[in-house]
Amino acid sequence: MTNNIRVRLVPKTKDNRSITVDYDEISSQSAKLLKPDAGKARSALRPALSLGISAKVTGHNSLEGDIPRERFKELFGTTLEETSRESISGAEFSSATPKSFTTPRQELKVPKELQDTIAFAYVPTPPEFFSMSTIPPNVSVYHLRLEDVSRILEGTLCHRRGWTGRNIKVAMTDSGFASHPYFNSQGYRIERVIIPGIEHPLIDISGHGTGESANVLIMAPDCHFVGIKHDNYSALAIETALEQNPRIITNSWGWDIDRQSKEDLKKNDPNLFNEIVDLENIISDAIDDGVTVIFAAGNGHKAFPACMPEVISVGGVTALEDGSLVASSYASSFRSQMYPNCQVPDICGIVGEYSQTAPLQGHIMLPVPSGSRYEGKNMPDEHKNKGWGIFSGTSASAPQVAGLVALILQINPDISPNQIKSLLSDTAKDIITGTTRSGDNASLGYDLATGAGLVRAFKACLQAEALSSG
Amino acid sequence: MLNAKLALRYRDKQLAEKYARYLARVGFVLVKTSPRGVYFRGSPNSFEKTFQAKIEDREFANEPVMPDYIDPSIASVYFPTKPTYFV
Repeated sequence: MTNNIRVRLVPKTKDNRSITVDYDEISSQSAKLLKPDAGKARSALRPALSLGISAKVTGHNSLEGDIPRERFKELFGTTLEETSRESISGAEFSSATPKSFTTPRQELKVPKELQDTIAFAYVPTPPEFFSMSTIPPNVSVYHLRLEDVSRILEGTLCHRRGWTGRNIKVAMTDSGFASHPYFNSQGYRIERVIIPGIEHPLIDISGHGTGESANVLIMAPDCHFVGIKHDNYSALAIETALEQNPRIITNSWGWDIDRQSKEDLKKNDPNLFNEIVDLENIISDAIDDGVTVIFAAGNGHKAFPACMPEVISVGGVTALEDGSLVASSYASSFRSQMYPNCQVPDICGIVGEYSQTAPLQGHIMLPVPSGSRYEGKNMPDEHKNKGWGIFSGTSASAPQVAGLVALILQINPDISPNQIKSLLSDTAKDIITGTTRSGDNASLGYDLATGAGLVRAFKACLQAEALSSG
Repeated sequence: MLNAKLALRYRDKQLAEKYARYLARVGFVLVKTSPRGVYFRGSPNSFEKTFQAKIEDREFANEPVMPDYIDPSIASVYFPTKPTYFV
């Protein structure tokens, strides 16, 4: 049972009408006419916050937020009950939704402080989703399967030597980590950390964390994977991850802010500056304590924390249909303004291509919860509802490298984060063609487009083994 | 309710716990305490009163002032900003 209850507050129209009283039957036409007013949504925000509802204005001019369970009856005039949803005839439930949830016993009364602006309020009921498949659908769009990623990055060669990341703890902070028959069939060791006051990590509305986590696990199938739900509270997510004592933390997110010096950021956005300084401190502590911290470089973004010199920043290389490898036109490359002399990326994993028109080529088929935002992404209509999507971005390449680092640490547990960074660079495959989303060309040797190039797991592991024995 | 963090410039769990007790005393809800600070939440009014700064659009409209109990040379307060996922 969660301590907070999610409520949705729907504003009145501009001329103070409400869809609940002004029409007996709702049609698409009447719904359009009775669209909630954006001004009323904004006006309702402050009183809603004052009432203790952590509300935000949604894209559809409504307010959505959480309220502590103990205040629910006082505000909305009705009590709550728990409802269970039983599995039907063995069908696999999506973890995009919980198996039990809270519903109000009666219609919600709008608090008097909100009656001028809000038409009605309700507690959203999680929908039911079915039909996720263990096996990815066979689609005509050129894409890679997870096994292809492992093969290209030499993970498969490592696995045959027994280097599978056994018992190495890899933490990932992301949008959530739903269960999926694909993960169950692989027998992975997946742990999800619950943070009080934060939504359950099994809930992954976008599917981003669920899908991208498969990139870690295909590279390090025997690692101990720990998922920490991010929920837009970045420092909290990373500190919670660190409390689990991982050897590696991988993060496929950031802020597109490395377009100014830190001094300018302090002047322009002091709130974000304070958050950045806090994260710098937390990340530096982690690396000092021997944790390898990995960040996605961004997809045309100039991303912090990827630009921090101490982290491993991961860009993208595309595996074309003919087998050749080029700098990804989807991934970032940039010189940092926040940290002069620092450039992004350090090394690369596999990322697809950028295009203005769908479908995008060379991305990865990833397992996602049914009903999630990325389900069916980049796929033909007939395959859109099977619990899979084709996507990547540097959100994929960072966890691939995290999986590789788990292999290295299995072989040589004493190696430091700095040594790991050097080892990955020293053994990477130089990428000499292709142009990144940021417009930088790959060329012979270390370059801005791909850093040292594409990671090579087998070569890196052999070097880790040599370091270990000698 | 707004989420926030009181961030410490160095690791000190005891100091973080001391500041957490203070924040709870003045009406905030504690989420978590770590060696690097206190995660907490509260109403805009609580933030405005405690940190003497106006809240507009879930942010401080002017520079927050640390209450006497908290040393401003070692602590800062911020509201977390939504990051981008790089998919």
